[in-house]
Amino acid sequence: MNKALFRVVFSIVVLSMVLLGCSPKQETAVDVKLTLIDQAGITLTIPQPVERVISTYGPATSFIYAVGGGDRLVSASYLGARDPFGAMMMEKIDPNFREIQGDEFFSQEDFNLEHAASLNPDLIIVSSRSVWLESAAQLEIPIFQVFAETEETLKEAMLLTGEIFGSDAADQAAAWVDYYDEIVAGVQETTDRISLDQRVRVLFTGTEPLRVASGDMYQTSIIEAAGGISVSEELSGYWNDINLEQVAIWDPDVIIVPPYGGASVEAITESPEWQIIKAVQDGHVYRMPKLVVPWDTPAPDSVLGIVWMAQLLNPEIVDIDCKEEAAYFYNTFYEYQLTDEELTTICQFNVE
Amino acid sequence: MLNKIFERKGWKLTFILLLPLIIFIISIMLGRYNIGPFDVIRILFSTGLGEGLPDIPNIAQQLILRIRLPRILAALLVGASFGATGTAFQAIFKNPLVDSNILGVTSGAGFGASLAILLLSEQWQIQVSAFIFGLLAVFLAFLGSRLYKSTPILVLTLMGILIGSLFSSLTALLKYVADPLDALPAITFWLLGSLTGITWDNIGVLGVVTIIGVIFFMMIRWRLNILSLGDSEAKTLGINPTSNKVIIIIAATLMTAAAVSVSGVIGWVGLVIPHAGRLLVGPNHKSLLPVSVCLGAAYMMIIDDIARTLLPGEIPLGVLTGLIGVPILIILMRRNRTGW
Amino acid sequence: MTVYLSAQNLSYAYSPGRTVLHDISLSVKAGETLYVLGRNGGGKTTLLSCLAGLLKPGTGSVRINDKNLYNYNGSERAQLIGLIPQMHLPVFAYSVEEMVMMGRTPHLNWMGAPSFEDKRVVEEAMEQVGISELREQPYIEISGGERQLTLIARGLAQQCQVLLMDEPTAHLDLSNQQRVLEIVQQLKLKGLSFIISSHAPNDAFGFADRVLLLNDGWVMDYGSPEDVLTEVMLSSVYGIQAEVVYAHDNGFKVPRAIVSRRPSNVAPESINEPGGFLYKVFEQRLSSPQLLIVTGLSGAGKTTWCSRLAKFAKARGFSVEGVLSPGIFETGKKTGISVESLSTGEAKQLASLRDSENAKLATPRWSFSPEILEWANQTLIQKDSKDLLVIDELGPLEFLQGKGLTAGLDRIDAGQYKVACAVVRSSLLPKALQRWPKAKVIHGSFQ
Repeated sequence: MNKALFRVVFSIVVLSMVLLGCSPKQETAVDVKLTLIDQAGITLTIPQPVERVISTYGPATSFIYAVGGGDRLVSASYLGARDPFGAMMMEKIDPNFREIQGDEFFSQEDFNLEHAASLNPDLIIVSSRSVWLESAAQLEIPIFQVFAETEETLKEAMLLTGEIFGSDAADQAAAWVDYYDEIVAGVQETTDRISLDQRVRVLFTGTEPLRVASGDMYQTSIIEAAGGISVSEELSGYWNDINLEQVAIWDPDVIIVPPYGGASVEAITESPEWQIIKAVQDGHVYRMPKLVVPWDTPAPDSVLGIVWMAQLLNPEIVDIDCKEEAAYFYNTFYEYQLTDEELTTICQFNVE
Repeated sequence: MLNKIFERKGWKLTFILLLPLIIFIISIMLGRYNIGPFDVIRILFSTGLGEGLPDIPNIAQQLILRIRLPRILAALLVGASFGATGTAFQAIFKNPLVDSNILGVTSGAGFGASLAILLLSEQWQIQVSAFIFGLLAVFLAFLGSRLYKSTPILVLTLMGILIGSLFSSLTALLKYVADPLDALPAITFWLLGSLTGITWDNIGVLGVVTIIGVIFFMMIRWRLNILSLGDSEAKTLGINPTSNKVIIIIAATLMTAAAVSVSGVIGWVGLVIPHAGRLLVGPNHKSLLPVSVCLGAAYMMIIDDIARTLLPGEIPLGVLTGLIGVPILIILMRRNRTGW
Repeated sequence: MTVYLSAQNLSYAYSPGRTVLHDISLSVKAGETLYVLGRNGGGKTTLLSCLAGLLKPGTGSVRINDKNLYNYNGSERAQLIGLIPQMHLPVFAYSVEEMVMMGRTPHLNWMGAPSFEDKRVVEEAMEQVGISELREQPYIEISGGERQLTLIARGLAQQCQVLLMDEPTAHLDLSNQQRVLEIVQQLKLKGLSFIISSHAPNDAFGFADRVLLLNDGWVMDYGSPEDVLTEVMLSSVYGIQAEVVYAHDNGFKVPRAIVSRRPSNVAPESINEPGGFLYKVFEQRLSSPQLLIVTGLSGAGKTTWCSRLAKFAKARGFSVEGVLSPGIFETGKKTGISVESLSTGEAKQLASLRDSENAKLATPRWSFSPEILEWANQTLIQKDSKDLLVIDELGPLEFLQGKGLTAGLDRIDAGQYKVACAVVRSSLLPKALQRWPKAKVIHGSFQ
């Protein structure tokens, strides 16, 4: 956490103006460069302004849209745009979506060097976990590595993305961070009053009912920000496989399934074995919403995940409305006006 | 003390045969959810689901009857299956370093399961796909061995290894194209083996196939001695080696496919258990086969107990069987220096 | 006594064109021992496999108790015939008792659980061959002789009436050989029949009632050991100078052992010594043709020996014919082979060193002149034989390809000589002795 703060504070932003040529009378070619430290701790220099950007990492793509840089993408991997609904919504947000969708070329595992070169990019934004970083470096195009898995690193990633895309984008990123902090603080103010043993106990499952989120994962931060307790926070690492006996010990009040990977509420509610769990008996199994990007992933949209979950867990005390916030959020950060119908659909608790 | 009792072969044998029952009783009392041993026994002997025992929380009763019981039975069946098939394969291949995976059944099942995880989603679909591809792999190995005329068992082994590698490569391909966020961890976890999420619905086929299979191997266990001497000696003693081996391979393949389709890929059990059995009762399959069945069942229940109780998260069975099985095998091989 | 097992006109081929047994007939009565002898690869194991029903012969039939062997099913057959294979170790360390118990397999019920009766039979079988005290020991750890006895006990436990044994005494020391064969003899007296393949013809004198001598899958002879195992027969099968050694038991002269004689060291001069080896040979030529084979490694002096013999023979007034083929040497290296007619004294160059080596040819190093070869053959064709015929040499061309000095080969085959002296290199000596088993072998070297 300190390290992340350190990086935010000490990200050296140098706008250097170098005059080319010797005569001030002539047209001055201004070469503006931005130097910063990315989230892998690598110092890199990016020519300004960036015009042709490849994003090989779904969450990073959502940062770019959120800071208003979506029109500068030449190819991008998307998060949550594979299912028909996500794809449809993405197309509404960005009419160029179909043309620039590059999932088949770029992912954490794949990087099509030839295709990348043919797009003539001036910046490539990647996940720091990408396996092909060394070979991509051969292109000698600046590579910006993103590592946004926690609240802090997510904010940092947004601010850095903002800087890269220029001053307007920087303002937009700062606005998002403010909005995020405001939401969290607002929820916290009311939920702080709830003593720990009174808080709603939440189990966040994964693509299979018996696969759950560990304490290291962003989902746990969302639950905590929403005033709940993640029962599986004692686990570490990535998704953990567990057995039903362990679920019985945790005895969660609420079970939340993610909106991706074939996970479904029915896999739990319709299983005879899961009926022994109180949350299932009481019908407290919910699916995390999404528009395009799932609201439980470390992306700008996750702020709505906190809103939705706070409303779900503490409806009596939290003065916050999912529809209202979602309308504001997508309007502000994706420049997309959600219809009332869309708002109702995504904010309801029992979706299918 | 124990050694003294063991000096009498009868006692030793009785103890080994009772071992699965003992481990079963211990296992059913073990779990992360704390239920007293007496309550466990009362739950087991109560017939109405939770109605007759108002003093025990309903969730405890449900846990025992719907979660622990089928899972421990599954471990018992899978272990018994690996014990029986491993022993039989070591005999008919005249090789103490093989188990029923030698003909590629596990690799085939692994591919089938991975394919189903990618394309389908239901638990039963994954099981069926694993079962079918497990059988398909051995069938292909069989078909391939028909291309050659000579030494069928040797060619069959070679073909099994080749087909196994082929399916492993195909599985690797599936893992490569699988979404790292959802399908990939599911495939990886399946390939490491697990009994998480076993319910009564899953163990029906496994139970029927394993029980019939174990009875079959019990019936022909004397023949395993003869077949292990080699083809010409078996013929001399009036046993047709080819037809007997074909039937044994079919039976073992069905059993292994049924086990693996439920448990995922679990190695080493079918290899290690017969060695332990031989050390305890000698190589005669008349007693070795039942002993391997019982040791396999007990071993698998213990492994699964560790997998489900040691940590809040499940430990993959394949990891445990390897971590525990390999050192055991090394120790057994040391003690067993003078032949198998 | 009734015939228990018999085979009629048996033949077997592993693949078309690879026939390993030709038209074999034999029969074994109760309480009889049949020895099957022959060289390695002669078809002994294949014959036993056919008789045991492991292999189905191409033609002919095997009958047991007057019923075709193949009309019995596997388990019935196993109750009639037992086969003790050549020694190989099982992978698993079964105890001796377990190994013997496996012989009960054809008698066991479908569950394979041995009954009290089975245990009694096994006990008796182990007692009979004297291995009861080994019962708990792992079969793979006992001695080779004890293993063979265990397998015999297994055959007894099988309760079959004929036991086929494939080289039971191979790899056994003398004492264990004796122990195994003595047990066989005792069991035979109890009415059991044995068919034993063996590389020890000597054992046949002591233990066989009959002997079947196989050569390349053909029956050379079949009958009592005394009739079959003659010096000429053994020479022609094994390609050795066989000598049967007799013993005198109670006034009877009985064959005891077969020894293989080594080539004799004879000096050509002994033709002049009355009573000497060659002197006698030349005397005996008047009653029957005498064949001498001069053998030795290349360069041992075979040609020199022959030329000296020719010289001494001429000196004694014998007529000499035939050819010598001395090497042509240039600065110590053999660069060619010449051929010299002993009747005319004419010499010609027969072969020269080849430029390039070609391993496919029978004589890769030497290129022979067909005309000179023809001339040499002509000199060997004679209407009336002289006292001494020298043929130098009969090599791979003659024995393996039917080329070269074929006239010489034909004359020896036809016996058209008085004393013939043929040069044959050591590697081909067995071939020569199989062809001419009565030949006397001399080590051709100059001392």
